[in-house]
Amino acid sequence: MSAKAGRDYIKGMAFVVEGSTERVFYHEYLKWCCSQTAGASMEQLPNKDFVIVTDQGAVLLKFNVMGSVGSVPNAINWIRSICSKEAPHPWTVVLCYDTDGNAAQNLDTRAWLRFRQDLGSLGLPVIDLAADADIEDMMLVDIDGMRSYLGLEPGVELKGRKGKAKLNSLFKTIDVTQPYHEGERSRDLIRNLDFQVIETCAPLPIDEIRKAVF
Amino acid sequence: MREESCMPLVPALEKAEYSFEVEFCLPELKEYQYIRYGFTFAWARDDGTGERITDERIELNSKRSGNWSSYLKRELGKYRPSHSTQRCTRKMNLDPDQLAIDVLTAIDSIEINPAIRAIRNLKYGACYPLNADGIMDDYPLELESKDSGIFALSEDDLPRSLYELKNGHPDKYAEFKGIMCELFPEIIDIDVVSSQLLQEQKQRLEKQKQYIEGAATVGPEEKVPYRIRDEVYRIFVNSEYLNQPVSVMRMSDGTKRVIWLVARAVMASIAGIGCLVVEEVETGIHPRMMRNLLEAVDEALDGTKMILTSHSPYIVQCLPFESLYVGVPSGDGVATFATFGADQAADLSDAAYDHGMSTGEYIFALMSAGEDEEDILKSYLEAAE
Repeated sequence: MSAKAGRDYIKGMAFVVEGSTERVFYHEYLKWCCSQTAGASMEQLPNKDFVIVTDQGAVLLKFNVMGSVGSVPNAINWIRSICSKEAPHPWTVVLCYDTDGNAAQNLDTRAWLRFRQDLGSLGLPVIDLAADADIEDMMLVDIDGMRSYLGLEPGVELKGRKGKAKLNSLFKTIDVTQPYHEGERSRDLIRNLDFQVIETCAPLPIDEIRKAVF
Repeated sequence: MREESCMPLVPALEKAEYSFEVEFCLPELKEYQYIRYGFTFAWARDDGTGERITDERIELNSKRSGNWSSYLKRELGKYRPSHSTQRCTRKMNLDPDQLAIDVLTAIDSIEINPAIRAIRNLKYGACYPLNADGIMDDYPLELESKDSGIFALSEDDLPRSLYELKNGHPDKYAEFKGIMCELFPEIIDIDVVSSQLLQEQKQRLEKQKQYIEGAATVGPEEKVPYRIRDEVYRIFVNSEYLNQPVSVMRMSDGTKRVIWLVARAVMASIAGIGCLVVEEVETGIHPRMMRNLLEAVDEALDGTKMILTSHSPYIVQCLPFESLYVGVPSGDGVATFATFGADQAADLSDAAYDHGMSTGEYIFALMSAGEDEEDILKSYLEAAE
């Protein structure tokens, strides 16, 4: 089966994520899932989409990273657009963002709520990995792997309220000029995490992604 | 009251007075820990009127809510020395252009004296240069009256302030470096160094100094005083993209502004700055960095409040809704600022979503579209103050 033509895909996964670290994290997670599944492989297309080829067929993965300047209201148009262009294979939407506590006071949070409502009207299956947490909270589930990667003693404490601050504090205990960096620069760290531990112990059901793909 | 550069030039404000008010908390003052202070004055006028303080208010409280007690009746020339004294009964003599706190601060025996001193010791830092070149300047000829060092938060010699930070507060300097390396992943190190001027450089500068002093005079006799620094300070940045450390003067204006903003935020608490005002914070800075920059600065401020002015929807999107003030357009050229109604966040955000915009974009769209849109914007705002 060709993985280059959209018509050959058996299904599609549309990831709407808050930042580029989420994309790196789920990319590495899915690569790990492939390594755990006989006959599965993952490749990246020239347009930066990903394809996972399994015994059942090819699955198309698309990412929409909001970043600092992305507009949540436009994410629903993106979903509509890819569903119409890439039809007829069925789509599942994966949502990964920090709900950031108080929806009444945080402008982004309110927009995400509206986006969720609009998604409901499209009738697409949704894997909801949104929580009042950073993606770094998910990474810190494998705290032993994190300390090992950084060469830290087991007793080194985490400081900060949320994952990103905690991770930054860990990095700065080694060298203040070597802080934690988000996005592509976090890939090496993420690649060294134990996804088996994360999948088992994560506060959010990331194994729903694996079940949907494979 | 006589500062011409501050006087309003808009006819609508021709007879308006200047008013200032601040509220802050100093827990160590216990019964008097919540402090409100304000004054109003009339600007000096050509006809000799004005130039007088028309109102002054001192209110203290042990908690933020509840009834605040007044400790000054300026119009009667009376003050209240302590909480146990029920009313403003003590007399004081004030000139029309004299603030009561300038008199009360000298009366050590009164119980409210520490609160009065706290008011007088309030410091503000203003950071507003749009062109960051001037604040990194290492030209060693300067006006003698120029403030120097970290505690002055002088605008025009950031390297010298950073050098003092490095030597006097190494932990804070490390914090500064850590934030810079966090915001710019390509930065390996950032350092500030001092260099002694060579004798021949001093001689050359001495000639320039004499020439400038000869050309610049204040009055018939008085020359503008210049001095030659013994040392100059430079910031060097080592980046993984470069083959050697480079002076910050060779970096982009946006990078210089980030260095300046982070440095000021880290230094503010050491310098006792209660409030830091930053104008057009987004100038020259990539939008993708804004959220991380604001988070880092907020953490570094360590209790110092910050007022930002901005024309960036991305900045608005990063800030808590309740902290936003909008400059409401008016027909007479006078800007008034108002907050959004406490229960308006959801409605405004929904309207923005329906227009396919972020809330920040929608606010600026309403401000720039037309009168109907201005009315819509005002419907989300509390009454302008």
